[in-house]
Amino acid sequence: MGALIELDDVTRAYDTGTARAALTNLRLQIEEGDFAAVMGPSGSGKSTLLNLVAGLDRPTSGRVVVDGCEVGRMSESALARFRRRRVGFVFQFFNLLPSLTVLENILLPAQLAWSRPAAAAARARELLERLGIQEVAARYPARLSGGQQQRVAIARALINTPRVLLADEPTGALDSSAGAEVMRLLQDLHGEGQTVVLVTHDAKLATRHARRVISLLDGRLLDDTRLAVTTADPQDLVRVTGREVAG
Amino acid sequence: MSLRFAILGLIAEEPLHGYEVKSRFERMLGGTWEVNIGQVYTTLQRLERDGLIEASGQRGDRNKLAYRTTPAGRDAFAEWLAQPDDEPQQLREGIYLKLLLATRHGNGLLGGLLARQRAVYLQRLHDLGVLEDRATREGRADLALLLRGAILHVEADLKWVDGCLEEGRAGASADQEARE
Repeated sequence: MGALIELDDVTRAYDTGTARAALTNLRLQIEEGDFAAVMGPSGSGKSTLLNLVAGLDRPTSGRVVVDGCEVGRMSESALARFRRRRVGFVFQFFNLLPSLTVLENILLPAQLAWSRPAAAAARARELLERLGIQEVAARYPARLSGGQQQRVAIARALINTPRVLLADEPTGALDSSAGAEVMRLLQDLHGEGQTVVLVTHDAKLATRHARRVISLLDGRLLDDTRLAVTTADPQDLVRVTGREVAG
Repeated sequence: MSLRFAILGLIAEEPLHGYEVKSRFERMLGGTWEVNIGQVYTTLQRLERDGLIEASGQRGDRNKLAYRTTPAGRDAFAEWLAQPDDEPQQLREGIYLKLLLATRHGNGLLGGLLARQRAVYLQRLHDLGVLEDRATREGRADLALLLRGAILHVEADLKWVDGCLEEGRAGASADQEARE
């Protein structure tokens, strides 16, 4: 079985002058059902990678294939359809429309994709319940906490049942407990089979919840670590020491 | 010195004999510091010699002698507990030596080493996170606190490796610019 996401020798340069390319000769495969965190310092190419997979950007050279679609070769209208149907995107600052209620925000991508209203409404109800936000369905985003707004954004990203959920620093605007809650939610969704790719700078959250950490530096792959499931005890990992001979 | 005061502190809670001191100490630390029983007995003898503990008169399990703290012992423990720890920072990992020597040898292997070290730290961060969650779930807030300390140290190590990698990159591009 092929990978759900494949980057084959991908370069993305924004400037043909002296500026360094955002991504250089990147080769990467992400399988269906994976939960990958992408890490790296600012300017390392993390967001460029996510935007390429989301069909928001095209490679300068090389191939980006997502769910069998080659992003770089698609027409604008095919790409717009691809974005609505195959990928869900979650942003750091939620990007909810303030003049729409929670339910209307969640339904919007379904309406843009011309889904049957009854099916979309049923899916929205399912997601509201799944993400624990049914009681705020009629409220406006400004009246929600950050953690609730991000849950709404995740529901909106999932309304069209995308093949991959992409998240760019989804915990970046949240306090640590709301951030951990959002990460647990993404982990649960992954447990239910959702492919998740997220960009984060938080190594603790990334390693706690993702199955794989892809590290970029200067637009190149630095390291690709598949985290092993651990059964270790504290003494296998930590040694507390001190001078033991008493005077 | 810290073992001496840790033992004193455990005995200040209630009279204990040597083997109880060892098992309580190790359990408190989740097994992250193992002491041998000989060290415990030596420490108890010295604490008794210094007038900080005394035989409690009670015989414990297997007829072992239990100790209790004296007023001087409780004062000494309270004084130790109030003092901040100002021992030098310990960097014991071999990675520090490898980094220094790889830099001196300049054999081009440093980047790969740092990337592999990074992978080790990421896995450790995952493992410690799992243990912290488990300790919290099991009501071991004290152990969770110790693990959170370990997590912060690994995060610092990770930042340090990232800093070395970024510095190496800056050095490499400066070299390249100089050649161009």
